[in-house]
Amino acid sequence: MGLLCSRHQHSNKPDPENAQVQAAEIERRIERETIAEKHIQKLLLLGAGESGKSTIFKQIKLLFQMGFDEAELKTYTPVVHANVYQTIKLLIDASKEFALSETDSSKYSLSIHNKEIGDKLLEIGGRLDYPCLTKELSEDIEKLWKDPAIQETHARASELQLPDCANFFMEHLKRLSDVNYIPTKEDVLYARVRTTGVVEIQFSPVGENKKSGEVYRLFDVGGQRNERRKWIHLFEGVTAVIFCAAISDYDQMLYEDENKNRMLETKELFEWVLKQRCFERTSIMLFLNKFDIFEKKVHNVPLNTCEWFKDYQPVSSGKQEIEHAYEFVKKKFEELYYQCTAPDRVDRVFKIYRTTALDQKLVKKTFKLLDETLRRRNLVEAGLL
Amino acid sequence: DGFAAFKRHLEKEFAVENLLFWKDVNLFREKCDADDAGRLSCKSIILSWAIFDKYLCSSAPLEINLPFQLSMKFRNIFANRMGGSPAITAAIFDEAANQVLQLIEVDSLPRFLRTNPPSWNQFRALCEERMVANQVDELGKARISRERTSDSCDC
Repeated sequence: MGLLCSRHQHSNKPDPENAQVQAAEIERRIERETIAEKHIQKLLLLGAGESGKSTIFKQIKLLFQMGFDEAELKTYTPVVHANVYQTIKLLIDASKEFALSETDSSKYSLSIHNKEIGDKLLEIGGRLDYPCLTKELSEDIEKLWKDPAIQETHARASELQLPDCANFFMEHLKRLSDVNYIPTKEDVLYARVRTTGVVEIQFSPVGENKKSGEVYRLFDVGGQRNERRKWIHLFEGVTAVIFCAAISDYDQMLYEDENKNRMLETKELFEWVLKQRCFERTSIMLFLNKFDIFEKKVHNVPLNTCEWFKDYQPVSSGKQEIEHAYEFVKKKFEELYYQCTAPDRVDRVFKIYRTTALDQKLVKKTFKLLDETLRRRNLVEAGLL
Repeated sequence: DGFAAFKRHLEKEFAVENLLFWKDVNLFREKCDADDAGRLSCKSIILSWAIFDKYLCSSAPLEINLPFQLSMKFRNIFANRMGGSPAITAAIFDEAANQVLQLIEVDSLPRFLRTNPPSWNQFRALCEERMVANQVDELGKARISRERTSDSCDC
């Protein structure tokens, strides 16, 4: 009691330093309370497997949260190493298979020396954990990666379930196998981890010195078929769905069903999302993702390989062709949107963004735009605009 | 304890089917009995069907996240319910259980460890689980290498 009184008396005296501390404390409290009072908006990242949802999620952590500290970066070391092993093992297995089934089998046959190394590498990771990537192992892997048979096999990557990070990590083997290796931000973004279940973060897409913006809860989910049945638990009260479509997937098959084209699956999935009653007033933000891979692929693999894009007519070569192909895909999705959205019943915003989830600047810009759109929509709904 | 805490965490993240499958597979392996010719008892075969129906068939209530080839393997083996297929052995689910464990190890476990600074008890319990898993895995490995009659490499 005595202590309390004396403190009370003390704080009555004008003590500039103390007053400042108190003022700061009050300000912090007000700030906290306004955040709590504010309506927190719910965003869902949806899309098929490997469409880039978790990469966007990681970017948001990097951009608008504290990012990854060293301890968290280090948790990615085994993931990156596992990606390396998975990649090389998959390629060795596939080269064997191609050598058996193709007429030009010599194209896919490893040199005798590399065959031995390959068999040794295939043994790795049968147990629970992959070993740490040592210098010796990385040199073995590099030898195999450079083997023409593996390169020939890699040229047919879209027939395999090869992660997109394969190339990137194979080109950095030396760095990844260093004893003091700590994954970089870029490594973390490239690292492939299949998401299972539902994960959430809260963030506010504001500039460095601005005070506070809209507060969002962002949900990331697994994309394979078995994971999708969990989505429904999140569908209530959603401000916006960010639908990721990997536009470079048009010649690939699903991880969980190798008889099904990934782009066709994405089309059906997008339709299903659009028709959900819960989303009649939910903004739809379509990310046409993996543009970086798409622009390389359209030159080698015609867009009309995919059933959905059968009516595509290429124009010329070079940059023009890329734009033409992209616009075609975009139009397909647009048409699908308007087919699945009855204008008299559904009142929502629809935006399309061209994205490369690995490109931090682009993702930042995209989220600023998205934030603006959603805030504007709020004002309209409140009758202020 | 650690297992229960991790399970609660996975329930919150809608990913508990992975752990449940892994646990059921371990139970199955334990309870499995076979005759001298290696044919499983009826009881064991019924148990394997139960696991298939719960986690592996298409539209299974707790379907797990597996690559295509592996889930097709199970769907082919269990397509015929008349009598036990010779492909049904005590180790039939091991590869799938391993894959699922790897999945939660890489995706869910780091998040769990970050939000729950591991107490000693949790740590011990998890280690025990891991030890069991490793032993089981060693056994599986030994069996496979016996079958292949090739030396396993130690890296």
